Amino acid sequence: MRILVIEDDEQTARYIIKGLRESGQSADWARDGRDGMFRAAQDAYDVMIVDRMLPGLDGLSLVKAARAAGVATPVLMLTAMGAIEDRVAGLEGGADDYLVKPFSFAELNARVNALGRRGPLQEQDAVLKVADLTLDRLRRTVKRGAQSIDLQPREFRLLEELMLNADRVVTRTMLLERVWDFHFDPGTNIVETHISRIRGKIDRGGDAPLIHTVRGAGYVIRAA
Amino acid sequence: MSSAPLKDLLASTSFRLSLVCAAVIVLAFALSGLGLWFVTRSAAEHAARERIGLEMQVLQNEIRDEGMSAAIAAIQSRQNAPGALEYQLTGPDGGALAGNLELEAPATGWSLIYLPSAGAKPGPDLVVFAQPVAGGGSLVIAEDLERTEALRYAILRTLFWIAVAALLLSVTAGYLAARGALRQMDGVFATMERVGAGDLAARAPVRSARRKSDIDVLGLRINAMLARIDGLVGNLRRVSTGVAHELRTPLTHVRQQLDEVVAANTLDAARASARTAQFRIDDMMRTFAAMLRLAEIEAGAAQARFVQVELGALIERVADAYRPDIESGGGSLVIDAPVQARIQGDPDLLAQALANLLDNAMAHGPAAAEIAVRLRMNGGAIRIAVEDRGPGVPAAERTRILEPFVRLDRSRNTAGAGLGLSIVSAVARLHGAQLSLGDAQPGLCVELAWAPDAANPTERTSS
Repeated sequence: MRILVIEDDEQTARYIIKGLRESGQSADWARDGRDGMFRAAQDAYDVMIVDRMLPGLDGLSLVKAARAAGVATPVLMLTAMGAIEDRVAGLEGGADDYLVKPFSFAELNARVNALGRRGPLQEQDAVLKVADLTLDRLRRTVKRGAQSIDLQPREFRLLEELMLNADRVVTRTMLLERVWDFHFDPGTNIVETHISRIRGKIDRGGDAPLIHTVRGAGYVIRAA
Repeated sequence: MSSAPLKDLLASTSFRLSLVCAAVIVLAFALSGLGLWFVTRSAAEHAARERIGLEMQVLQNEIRDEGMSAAIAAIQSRQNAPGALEYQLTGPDGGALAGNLELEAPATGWSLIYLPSAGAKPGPDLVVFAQPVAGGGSLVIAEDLERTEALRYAILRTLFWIAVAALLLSVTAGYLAARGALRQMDGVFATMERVGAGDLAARAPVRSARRKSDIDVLGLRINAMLARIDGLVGNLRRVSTGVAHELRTPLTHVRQQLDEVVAANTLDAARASARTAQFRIDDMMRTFAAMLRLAEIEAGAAQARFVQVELGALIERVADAYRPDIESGGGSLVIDAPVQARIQGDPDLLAQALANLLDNAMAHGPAAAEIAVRLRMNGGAIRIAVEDRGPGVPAAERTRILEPFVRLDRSRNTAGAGLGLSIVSAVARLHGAQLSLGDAQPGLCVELAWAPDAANPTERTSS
């Protein structure tokens, strides 16, 4: 993937770009809003990482301008801690996801991957499949092979989220936001508890486990 | 309180006002004096003409009907009465027949005579009427205006002295009022100076009178502002001290972990120490995040994006998140929300408040006990209560525990920075709800209550 990082703080930018390159991505750096806007309009990037606070042209205005100019590249907006209003404004302004600083690289990477490969196809698929696990989003049924699996609504939403991102790491924070609509850390083991319950239900009878824990990052559902 | 210097006093608004009042009073008196002067003069002259005319007619009739001698007798009898007119009856030869007037050949008809002797009196001294009489000769009747003149002067003098008295009174009253106002202002100024010098406990003096003057109102406003600033600064001081204390220990730990990283013999040992340091830093970040969250809630900006929130569904969503943890510890979570209650609010913040309460209930209650969340509606009043079976909070600590970084001694060793209830309290304030801590017998009952006429525009429906 080609990723454009628009961030004025050099240390943060280096940290992000180094991490992205190490995980096999190609990353460019723009250090102010104007330069970022220019590059975003010139080149075809798969994902843009935009800091909310930028010299020249602030992140929110940049995203609005880019959207107005027809740039459809998914945007991950970085916001300062304690600026909840920025999240709402950012999402309304055209950003696709947001991340509060400071963040771990694993969190950033998971979100960039989720944005970069967010295909229109998968979002609209009625039936999601990973190995012999199928999840029917319309009928709200789950099967492992031929065996029907009974899930609580919240468990269903969590599995759906994992399967929408099959083969990609989904972090605990992403799950809290998307499954529970919690934009804060409730500090409980809800995610862990639900994951372990789902595992217990779908990995019964010596089947190969599908949901894997990625240490220090999150969870991924994949065939092997 | 120092007494105001004269210079300040003379320059004060109230004294200036009183000077203007005094000037207006003097002007009013001068105008009325002038008016009186002219009105009395013409009135006196007019009255004299009437009296003289009437007398002339009477005497002429007497001369015509009864002869000159009767008229002479009449004049002689009248001229000595008090307040009498003055007369001069002359015969056909020009000799005086009767009367006390001695005018040299007065012109026939009306005339005004100014006596030179009496100095610079304005106006005439005598109003004179002369007419020929039957059988030759003439009759002159005059009235001396000196009496009315004296009256006019008396009135003017009185007016003058009243004006002087009014002037003195208003200047004195102005002086006193100005001095009183200045004294009060001095109190306000002194307060401002003390506040400027850092004494936020200073308050402007406000008289306890039932009817407050504008300066009292000013003082009240200033005091209200000072109280608010005092509260905010006190809060800030507590928070910054709290932050320093709160971060000192974990920072020390991080420092120790980093020492271990540097001194580590193997890469694995270094990694392990570094990881521990990371966890510590994450803890500090969480504390920071909570503090910033608190600051943001207290700033009140979230009110701009309030939406309708159904509290039952909110409770269900948050409880759902906690149930697994509670049940895995052997406890149970009871949701008792038989009503639908809607308020205008921020669902994220309300969820966080409820989450913090459940978090507290789990942290402080016994693992295998019941935690209950109840939603009640009574009339328009809404109540959310979270009850645990923990040791509760002593009544004396129930207010203090809402402040940032305040933790009860026995919970020193549990996780958290003591910000959870502060956040709940801030969320409650933002939503116009009353937060109270009570006794669930046993355990703690934390209650969020909305009055029917809560400050928020809320719409409540009953299912």
